[in-house]
Amino acid sequence: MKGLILVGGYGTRLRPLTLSYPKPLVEFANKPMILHQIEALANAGCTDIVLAVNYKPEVMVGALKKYEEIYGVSITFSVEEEPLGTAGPLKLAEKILKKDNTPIFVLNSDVICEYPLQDLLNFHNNHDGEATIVATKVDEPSKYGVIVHDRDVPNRIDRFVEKPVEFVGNRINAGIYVINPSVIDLIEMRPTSIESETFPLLVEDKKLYSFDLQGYWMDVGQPKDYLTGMCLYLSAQTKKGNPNLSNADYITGGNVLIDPTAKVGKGCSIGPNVVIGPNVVIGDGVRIVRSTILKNSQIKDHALVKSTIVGWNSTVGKWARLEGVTVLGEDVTVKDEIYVNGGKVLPHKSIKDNVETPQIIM
Amino acid sequence: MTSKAVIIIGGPSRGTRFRPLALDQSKYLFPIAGKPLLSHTIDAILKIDSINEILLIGFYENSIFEEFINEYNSKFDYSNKNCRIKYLKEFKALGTAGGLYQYKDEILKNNNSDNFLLIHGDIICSFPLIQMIEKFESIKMLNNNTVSNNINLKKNDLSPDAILFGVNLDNYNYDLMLTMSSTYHTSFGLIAYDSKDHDKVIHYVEKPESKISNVINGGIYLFNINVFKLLSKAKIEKIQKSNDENYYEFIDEDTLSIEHDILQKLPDLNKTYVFNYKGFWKTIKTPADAIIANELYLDLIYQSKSKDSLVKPSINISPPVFIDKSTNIDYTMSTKFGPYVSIGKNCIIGSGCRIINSIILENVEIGSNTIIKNSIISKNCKIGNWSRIEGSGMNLVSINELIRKNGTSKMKALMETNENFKVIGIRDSGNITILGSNVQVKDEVLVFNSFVLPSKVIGEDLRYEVIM
Repeated sequence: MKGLILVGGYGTRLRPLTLSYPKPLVEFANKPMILHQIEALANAGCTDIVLAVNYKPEVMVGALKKYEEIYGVSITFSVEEEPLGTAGPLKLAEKILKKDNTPIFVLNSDVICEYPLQDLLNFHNNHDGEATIVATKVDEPSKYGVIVHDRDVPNRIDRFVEKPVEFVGNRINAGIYVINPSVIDLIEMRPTSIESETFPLLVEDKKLYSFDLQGYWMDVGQPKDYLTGMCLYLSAQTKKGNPNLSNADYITGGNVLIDPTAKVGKGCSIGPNVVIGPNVVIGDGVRIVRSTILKNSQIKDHALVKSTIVGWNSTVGKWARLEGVTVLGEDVTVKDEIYVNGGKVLPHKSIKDNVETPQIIM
Repeated sequence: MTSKAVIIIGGPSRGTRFRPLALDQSKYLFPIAGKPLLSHTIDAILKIDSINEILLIGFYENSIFEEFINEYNSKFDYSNKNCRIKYLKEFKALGTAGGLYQYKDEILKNNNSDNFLLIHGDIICSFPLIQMIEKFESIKMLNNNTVSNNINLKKNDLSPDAILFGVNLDNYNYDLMLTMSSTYHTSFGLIAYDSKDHDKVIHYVEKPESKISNVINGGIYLFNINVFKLLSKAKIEKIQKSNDENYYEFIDEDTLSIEHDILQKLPDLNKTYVFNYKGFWKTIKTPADAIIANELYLDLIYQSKSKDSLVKPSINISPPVFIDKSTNIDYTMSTKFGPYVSIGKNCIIGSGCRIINSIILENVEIGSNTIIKNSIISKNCKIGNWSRIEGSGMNLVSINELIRKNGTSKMKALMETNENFKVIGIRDSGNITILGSNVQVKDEVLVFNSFVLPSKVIGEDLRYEVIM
């Protein structure tokens, strides 16, 4: 089995975090984002994984090397000279992807969900189509491209309706596919989109099916959604009874993941929905809710951190208050007693004055 | 020596700028640095040994000041001090001098000297009253010496007509900065004087359009009792005008004004002098002014002999800080108060709190890990854990620091243009937070640059709001 992960560009939407590290290496729930997908692919029996990137940072090559061994997979970077869209990378990596006749998983790297790849594969193998799209149900389908099923054959896709004005269904493309190698033959070697160019061809041939995703789904490509996705992910872990979740006495409301190397002071209240990374030091009387604290950061006494991502090696001062989807880049210092509301703070800055309204601190 | 002092305190319809705080009580009873605003003035007057009566003149109901005055008088009785405080209610709002005229007999009765002290109740400063009296006496002495050489002068004319308290804005002054120096002369009375003749006043003008002097009227006067002649004259003129059928304007013959009916007449009589004061000075009109007064008075106390009434500096206390002894504070987890914090009676404050430049009134409960900055918390408020009550204005210390760094002119430009340079006390006090009495603020809630009227429950963050 083989898998391709569409990584794409620099991840500008997740700045200021991606100014320091490529997006796939930014941790989500204490694990580099891309590892959630690599793990899912490895668990589904993939041995060859292609990362489709249009840049190739050395830091990423080095970081992913060790995971090849851990998961027993071979990871290849397929570097696009120019962005090739969502289908082009498949053509580019044709050699690896078509080395045997087994189906290929295609994942978008920004998506966080349960990744039921084994179920997906079983479903795929049991229909006569060439490809399967994972579909997720949304409340407001009018904002998306909606999948409409064939009236006669269950799960077979009849058409796509872009931003429907009238209700035609609420299943949308979740950005996860499994395709047969033959689908690559439909793709030309140029920038092209799998959603709007390749899939319509399969629909015409009645060879495209959809598979309903159970549970949560979120595109975590920007800070606001990163935090929402974190809440969904953590709730799912609680439901699954993940033993790594913390149940210390300072936990409020559950759904809290704390790395064993992190230290938490006296009289804190952490949770719900918090991720604390390795070597983080939390002082006394600290309140953290709905936030991620990345590794090596320090939250000093009596601070309140709410709906915030604290970047690596950052320091939050005593009695500081961070909220409103504040994102601290790497090595940021927020001085004692400072209030930051929705600030996106670039790396290595020191914040000495209140940031009252959402803004970028250069 | 001077034995009578009068404090003018206006009335309830005058204190509206002090809302929402003045909804519960008079602004004169608002506690600053551990005691009512009015007590700072009274205690300064009591330093004059010869004082035997302090008269409060205003048009508040008698009951408002009853308890306050009784407390003072019983203290006098207890310590055998020959002194009385008395409240004299005007029959209506009589202007700055109408009450003076109405209660002329009270002021003259048992007056052991030829003068009396008059102070506006809403000003704060270091009250160098004894020096003012000394100036009065030294001018009298000087004239006495002159008289020996010149027999034409009559003996009873030796005393000055008045010593005016002039606030000199030449040096950096808080109020100068706070009111934007380019326009200060339009909101004060200006005093022109002759520095070669013992600072004799040569001209007085109220709120002029042009700047004629750097010395403003500071609202404290040591008046010769003969000013009542001026008042009588002004009164007669008013009555004549109001009876004059040819005079078209309405004249309220009951009201009189210190500024128009006394101060503007005095320079021509050639016997009025100014006491040139260079320290801190401020009028208390808005709640933000109360925060500034708290800062100034705490500094004054901290630098004086009565320093012991404040909390000793420590790892938890960055001075000056006043905390009433009946208040209960949990210091177990790096609590930090100060500078410029006053906390009233019977408060309960949880562990790990941070309070800066704020006034906390009585019976306030505050949870743990809460931060309060540039705010006034009225009595009986309840504030939760990890809450943040904040005004974003800069206090005087930080302004001074910036001025030292940038210079006055650059600082002024910054204050006018840059949002980050909002100074407490400018532009309708929007840069402090005030909680009225009985307000409840839930856990983790932010109240930022907002006013909350009494008895509200705040469960959601507030920014720049007024909650009715």
